[in-house]
Amino acid sequence: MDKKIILIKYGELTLKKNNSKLFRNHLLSNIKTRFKDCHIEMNRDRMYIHYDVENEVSILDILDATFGLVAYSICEIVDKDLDAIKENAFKQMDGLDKSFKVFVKRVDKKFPTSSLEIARDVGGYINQATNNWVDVKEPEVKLNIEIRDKYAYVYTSEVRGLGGLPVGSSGKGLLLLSGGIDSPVAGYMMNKRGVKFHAIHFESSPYTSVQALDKVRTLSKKLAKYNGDFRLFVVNFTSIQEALLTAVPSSYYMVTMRRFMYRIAQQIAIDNDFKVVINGDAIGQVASQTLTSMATVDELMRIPLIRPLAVFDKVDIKEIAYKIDTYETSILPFEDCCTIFVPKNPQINPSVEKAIAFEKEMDIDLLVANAIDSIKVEYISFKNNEFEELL
Amino acid sequence: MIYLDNAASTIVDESVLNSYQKVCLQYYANASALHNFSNSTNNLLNSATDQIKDVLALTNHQITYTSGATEAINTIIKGLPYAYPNRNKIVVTTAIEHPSVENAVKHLVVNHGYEHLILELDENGYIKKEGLKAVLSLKPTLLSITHVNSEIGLIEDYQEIYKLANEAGVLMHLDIAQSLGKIAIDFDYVDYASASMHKINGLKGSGILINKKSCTIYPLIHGGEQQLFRSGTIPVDLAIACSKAIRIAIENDFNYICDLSSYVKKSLLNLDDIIINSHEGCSPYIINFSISNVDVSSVVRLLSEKEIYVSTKTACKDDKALSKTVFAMSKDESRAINSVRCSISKYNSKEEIDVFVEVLQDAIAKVRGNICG
Repeated sequence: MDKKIILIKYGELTLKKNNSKLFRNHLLSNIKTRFKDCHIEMNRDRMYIHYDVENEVSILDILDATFGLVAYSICEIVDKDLDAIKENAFKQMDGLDKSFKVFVKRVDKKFPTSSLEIARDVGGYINQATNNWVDVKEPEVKLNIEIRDKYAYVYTSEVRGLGGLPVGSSGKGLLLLSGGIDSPVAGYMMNKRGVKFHAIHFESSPYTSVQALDKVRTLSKKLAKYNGDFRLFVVNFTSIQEALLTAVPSSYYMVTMRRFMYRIAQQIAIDNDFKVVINGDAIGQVASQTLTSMATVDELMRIPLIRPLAVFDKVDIKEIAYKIDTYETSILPFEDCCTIFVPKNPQINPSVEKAIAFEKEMDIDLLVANAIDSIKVEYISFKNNEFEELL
Repeated sequence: MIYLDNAASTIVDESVLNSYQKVCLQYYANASALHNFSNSTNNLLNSATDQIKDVLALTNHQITYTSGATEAINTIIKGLPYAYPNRNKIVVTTAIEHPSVENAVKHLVVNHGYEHLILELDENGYIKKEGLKAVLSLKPTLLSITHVNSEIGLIEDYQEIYKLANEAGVLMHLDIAQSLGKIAIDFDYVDYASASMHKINGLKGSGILINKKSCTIYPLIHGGEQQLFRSGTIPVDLAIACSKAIRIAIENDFNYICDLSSYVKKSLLNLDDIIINSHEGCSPYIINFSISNVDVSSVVRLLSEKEIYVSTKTACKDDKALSKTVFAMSKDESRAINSVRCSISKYNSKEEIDVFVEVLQDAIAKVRGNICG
């Protein structure tokens, strides 16, 4: 079977002096758990993935969804022989019609020809044999040759990776996943900085439909592509909502409802040692996302609540949602817990004191405990399809 | 029994049948109802559709589950006057299309005043490009061609043809009944496609219609609009079997078939008076050959008595049926009448081929002997 190698450059990871190994290990396991049919070699500044050519599409798919790699190149494996290298370089360069420069890395110092000589020899040959020309200052194509222990690697193109940090290297968080456009994007943004999330979803069955929950499952599966497998905590929120309808005036319904959500989310996060709660709030987007509304929630948080989309415009959020393929699912028209019982005129500038006063009438601890008892945990995996056996 | 008529129909793959049975027993809800049971059935259906899109690399296409390729073809062609009422009433095909294409076009000719233009083929059976260009300049509504011809396995260069059709603003239907899961298809070069599952170890009464989202279809069957272009309760069980059959077909070992195919050709050429009609550019799944100076229908009958099944157009002596494809290529009537089609699958072995060729040799000798005696 034909073997190839992908060379990965980490970028920012190499800057992390003392724990760079930790970061690299996260990256390695993130790739390895999603793509088993490969062998990975790793050193301080490079990673080499050995794979069979027939798996190329799947491995590239995974790399394109992996944070923590700045760029990668697909290398051809060539015998350590100058003529073989020239022949392969010709194959890759022929017909490009571009300026180029040869970069040589001679890891195997026993190889008889020096880096400079290899560069001159191969460069001269390509210059003559193809319609490309040498430009050492601003080459359009970089022809890279690495002479390693067993083989030489030859590559020309470099694909940009997602950048950021390997998922999991910054710890774990809990994402409030509603089914809308914003929350999946918020999760993705946290992934970018190495935070792995688990998710919590509030449903108001029987007022909300199974389809609404299915939509969240579908979104979760799409996010798992970047985040890796995770747990989805599904809370039945109906009894709290019903209690709120009688206990608080309608203008404060939304504020107090959100406070209950964050009480539950915070408890789940603490119980599971998640370091942060994440939501999709963008400042001023709706009544519940004004600065004062945010303050009513933050008032009860004992662990950080991060809002990665706080300063994003809706169009920018949509753009990312398109990119990560969650947009089409997010706009499916199923009611979620936030869209039922919605008051006509929610308070845009709610006060914390008033909210606390209204809640006094309620048995907060009992309601929260019951809601937590109602939680059903689902395991989300981007690979695992419940119908796999049938298909 | 040695079954060498896999281009006509195939044995059902056991795992496909298992899935079919399980879905019948476990996911029998109507996929379009509102309750949870329906919802999970519908999710299953969606996963099946997604899997098909995945394995066929369909990026911008829709899938409709039909009762087979014939229904898919009827839907595409008979819907043209309604889907594209303002385009030129011309449909173009070759002379060697499946009867479902021919007769659906005939319907348009008789009932809707369409003109049916037929493309010329070269000596290898390929569409002549000059003739095609000339016909496309008349701006027909649809060009319907076959990817892999069912009689000799000829693989048409649909990508090149699509480019020409697309440039001329003409829609193209590709009949992939003999190629789905067997020969790679790039659906970027396909507007419409049709296939039947029983050709790839799936179930009879099941097929798919694929269309690019930009190429519309007028439904043949009206009703509850359960599928965009086809009404009627969706047979989720058949759809799952369909998805699985396609996946398994694509995962098949193509090299094994190529190997077996050359073995068939090599073995046949050891006999006298045999001409292989399936040339190098043909699908390895089909090996068509002609036997000269013998009544082929008697030979096939003798094979059948020994439970060896191949296909021939000359089912009966008085029947003037001949292989249209072999005739179009060779312009040789007796070669076309005396042609036999052997079509293989992953379930066939070299041992079976040895037996087949041996019995064939005896049968030819016997028929010749009887005629002489």
